[in-house]
Amino acid sequence: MRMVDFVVRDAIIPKLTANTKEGVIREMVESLRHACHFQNTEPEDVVKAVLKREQIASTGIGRGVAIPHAKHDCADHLICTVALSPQGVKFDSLDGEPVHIFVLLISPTDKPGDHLRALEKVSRGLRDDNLVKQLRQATTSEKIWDILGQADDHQST
Amino acid sequence: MRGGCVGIISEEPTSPTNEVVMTPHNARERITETEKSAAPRADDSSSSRESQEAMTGTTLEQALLITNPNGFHLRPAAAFAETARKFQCQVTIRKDSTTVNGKSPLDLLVLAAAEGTELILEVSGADAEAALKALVDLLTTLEVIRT
Repeated sequence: MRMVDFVVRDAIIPKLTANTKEGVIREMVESLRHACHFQNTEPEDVVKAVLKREQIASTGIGRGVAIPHAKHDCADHLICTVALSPQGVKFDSLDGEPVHIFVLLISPTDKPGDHLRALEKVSRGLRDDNLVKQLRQATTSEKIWDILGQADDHQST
Repeated sequence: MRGGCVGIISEEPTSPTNEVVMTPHNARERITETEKSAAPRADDSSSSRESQEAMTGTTLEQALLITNPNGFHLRPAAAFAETARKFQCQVTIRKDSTTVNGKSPLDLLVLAAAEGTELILEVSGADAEAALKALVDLLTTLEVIRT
C-alpha cells in the first residue's frame, strides 16, 4: 500500500481557510466529497463521526501533525486527504503545539487492517523531518502530491 | 523488586467505540530483570535511594498480544506515548526485527500491529517497574491487550 493509493489527489488542500478544529474537519470532509462522492451519505454525517472521535481524544499527535479519522460506510474503500495550514490550528495536540499538517482518513467499518496500514504509511512518512519540512513549504496540491509520491518511493526502497 | 507487575483493572472498560471480541487470554508474559552496569550520571553526588536506582538501570520486558480487532490503533498509540513520557526510563516496543520508541505516537503507528500481533515491550531505567505497570494497565483499560 502506498500513500498515493489512498490519498484522493483532487481533495488535497494546500491552504486551509478554516482556523478551528471543527472548521478544518468540515473543510476537509467537503473537499473529499467534491472529489469522490460519498455513498448515500450526507457530508455532515461524516463530519460528526470525525468530531465524535476527536472528542474521545485528540488526533493531534505532536510535531504539528494531526490524523483525524473515522470509520464510515460512505466509502467502500479507504479514502484520505491531506491539508496544510501555514498559520497552524489549535487542535488539543499531545504536545500542545498548533497543527500545520492534517491527514484525514475515512475507512469502511469492515476494514480495520487497511486503516492500520494507512496509519503506518502516513506515520512512516511524517517521522521524516525532511518530509515534514517539505510538506510545510508546499503551496500547491501538485507539489504535495509529488512529495507524497516521493515518500512512497523512498519507503519502498 | 517485585516480579510480575501486571496490573489487573477491575472496572468495566470505558471505551465507547470499540467492540472487542473477548478471546481467551494466551499472552505469554515474560519478565526479565537485568542489572546493568552503573552508568555515570550528573547527580552522582546524591546518595538518595532514587539516585542509587538510577545508577543501577533495571530492564523489564513483557510480551503483549494484541487482542483488539482494530489493533494497536491511533488512540491507544497516542495514550501510550503520553503515559510513557511521564517516566524517565527508556520505553521501546519491538515487533520482529523492528524496534520503535514507545514515547513517539508516530513510531508506534509504524508497527501497524493488528489483532493477533505479538509485541515485546521493554522498559529500561530507574522507574522501569512503575512504567511497565502503568503502560500495561493502560493497554488493558483501552482493551488493546488482555491481562
